[in-house]
Amino acid sequence: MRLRLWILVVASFMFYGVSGPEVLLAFVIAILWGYVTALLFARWPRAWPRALAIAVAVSVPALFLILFKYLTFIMDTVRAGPETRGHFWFFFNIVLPAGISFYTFEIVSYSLDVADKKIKPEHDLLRFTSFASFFPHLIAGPIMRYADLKQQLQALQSTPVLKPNIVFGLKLLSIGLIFKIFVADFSGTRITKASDLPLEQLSGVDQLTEIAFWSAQIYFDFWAYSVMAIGLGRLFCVELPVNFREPYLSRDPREFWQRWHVTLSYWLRDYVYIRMGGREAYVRNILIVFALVGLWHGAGWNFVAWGIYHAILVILYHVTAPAWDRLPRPVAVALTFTLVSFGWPLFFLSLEKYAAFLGHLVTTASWHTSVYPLHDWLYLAVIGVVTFGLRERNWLYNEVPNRNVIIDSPVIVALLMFIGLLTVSLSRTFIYFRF
Amino acid sequence: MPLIGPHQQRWLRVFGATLAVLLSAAVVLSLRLPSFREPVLNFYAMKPGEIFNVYGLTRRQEGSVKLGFAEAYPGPEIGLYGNHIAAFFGAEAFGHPEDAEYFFNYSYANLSLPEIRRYLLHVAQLNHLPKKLILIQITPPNADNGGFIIDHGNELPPDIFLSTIESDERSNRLLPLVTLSWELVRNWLHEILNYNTVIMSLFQSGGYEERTLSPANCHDTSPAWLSRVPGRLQTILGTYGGVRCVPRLWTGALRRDGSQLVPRGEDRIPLVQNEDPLRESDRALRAGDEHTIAREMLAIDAIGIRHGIQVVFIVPPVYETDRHESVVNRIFDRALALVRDVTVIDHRSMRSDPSLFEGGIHASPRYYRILAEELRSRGFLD
Repeated sequence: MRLRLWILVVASFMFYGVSGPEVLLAFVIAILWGYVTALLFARWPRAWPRALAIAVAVSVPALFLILFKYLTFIMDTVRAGPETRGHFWFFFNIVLPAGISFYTFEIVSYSLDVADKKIKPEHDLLRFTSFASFFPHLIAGPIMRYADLKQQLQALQSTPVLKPNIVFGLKLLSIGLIFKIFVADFSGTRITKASDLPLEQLSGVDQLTEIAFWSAQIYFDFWAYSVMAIGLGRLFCVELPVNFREPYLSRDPREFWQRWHVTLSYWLRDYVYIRMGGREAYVRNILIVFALVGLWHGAGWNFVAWGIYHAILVILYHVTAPAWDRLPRPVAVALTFTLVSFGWPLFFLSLEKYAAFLGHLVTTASWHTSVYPLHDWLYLAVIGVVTFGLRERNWLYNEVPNRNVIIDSPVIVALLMFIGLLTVSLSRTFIYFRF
Repeated sequence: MPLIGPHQQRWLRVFGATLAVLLSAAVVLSLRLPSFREPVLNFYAMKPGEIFNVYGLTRRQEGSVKLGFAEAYPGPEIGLYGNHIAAFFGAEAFGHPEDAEYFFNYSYANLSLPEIRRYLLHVAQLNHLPKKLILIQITPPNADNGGFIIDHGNELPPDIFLSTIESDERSNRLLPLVTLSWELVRNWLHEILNYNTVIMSLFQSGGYEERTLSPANCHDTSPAWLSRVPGRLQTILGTYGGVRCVPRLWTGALRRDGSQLVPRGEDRIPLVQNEDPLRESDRALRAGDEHTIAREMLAIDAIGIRHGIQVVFIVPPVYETDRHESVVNRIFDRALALVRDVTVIDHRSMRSDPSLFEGGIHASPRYYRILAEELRSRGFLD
């Protein structure tokens, strides 16, 4: 039964190795580093003062993260000349390892948990490797903790006959695929209708529509990957946590981050925010944590600005909570959604372009024309109904098929799978693959 | 102990049966599509000014029109091989408007260097290579973030893989059969499991005769009411209603010399600077790929040498700001440094003049006139 883990590890490495031998090698080194440092922390606990343990655990994975992901950003920021950049040419050449931010966080959290004696170190290298490399969540999350997966991996090794929930897995795969292509990617194509034009040619209606499409694209891109990852996990008898809990239904910015990319939020809470003192210096810590959230999402000042924008929203809520909480629920949800949506363009625009975008929106006199035809708004309305009107527990995460839910029908799931396969050539790279 | 319960078993039986029926239907429908490779469209027999309307054809069919022609008829004096980037390269660039016997543009879809090499090997086996000059257009690195230079999108029919396997260096690789089988399976799936193939197999109409027309004479047959309906509806009615004199339907239409009709008016491709944002996550070239690019270029050059035909590689410009320092450009630079004995005309620096472009990544006829002049001045046309 140990063979099952071997199959998972080999399949995961083959899947990851497609990106190139260099990124696979870096991945293997990061796994070995996490495995060995944890054993050292447990073997000689007194030899590792806390700060030193943190530094050692973080050093190699963080170095890879800097070299592979943030080097260009750092060089641009310090305005390094061609000669300086030439020294790092090897790293510039290598394609950004997919999901490097995800596996780095997972490995670091494991080492730190062992150093803090929250968990015991894993002596079985195969089991640890299967945790770090489990391919459904390797590229775009969720960010797993070893404590969450350990029992399931042990069960894979020890249970004679596994009972995968194939029905649930196939349903999630089909739905995720369809939403990725027909909501996330299609929204992306509608954005270009406006973004390809000079700002002066856009009306205020166009800009707001563009923002609405950005909101749909980013959310459903992440959501679809997470849903598919959970579905794939179920086919392998591994339960992955729900990473997006209907975040657009949040009443306030703080709740938004308890529903959006949940595993990242909790990671930063446990390993950064609390370690910095949590509420003791709330504003400072929130600003730092959200600047890190921004940097985690992308190597650029626009991403840092996006993170700080969210920090400001969270602090704003913190200050105005008594009044905010008295708002009627629909108003609070609409307000939160609007504020969050105005941040999404920073995912795609530089700071200068974002400022120009907002400037034009504020000053434009044109509110009566649009490059978007009626059917684009109808399409947005349908997405709105799905996002705000349906509860996932009723139609998506109901593990036992329900005769009253049309999407639980095997014929419908097969049809969705078929349509997804036919149109997969229309799909684009997952946005979270960049992280 | 059963792996899954009776309810799951029932659900999976219905799911599997439905999916099998749908997939079988897709395969059967794809077989209905005419190939457009056999019988062959004879471009040489087209009259000047005539176009071949490709609207509603699948990518494979569109490519097959030119492939079939290349297989059936001897090559011209000069032949261009490449992809959609070079779509607007016509014989008028050389001062021979629509003279297919002098210049023919064999480019289509997203052909990359390995596919062009196979294409040339296939045509060479038939003795249909151009007589004087082979032009190879390489996708500029910044056009698609390094894409479609050495990676390929299954654009060639599978038999081309098989017919060139003897001379293909892949046969020397480890596990050649596995590699080849995988490529063939991907190629087949790419064509069959494709929404375009399924839709077109249901609605496609019109053979060579209906699709070959002269835009200059079209106003006589096009009903007046058609021009008053919205543009998108015009194309649908035109395609499925057998009315083909609708200018919007001529998008991508092929002229006698294999080049594409340059779109006019509202059908023009928007001129977007830096159309590809060169995102790191989408980069298609990585360290070491310079050797693969160089190897492919040398292999293509060797085909020309074996047949006594000059080969010139062309790298057209992209409409962009100064992005020469992009990673993909640097990798490509290193590839060029490895093939100094091969003739390359590298025009990546001609990036800022909008008149040289039709859209952000397609060079315009004006650019090709400049290119032809350079070919002439360097003695390649003598």
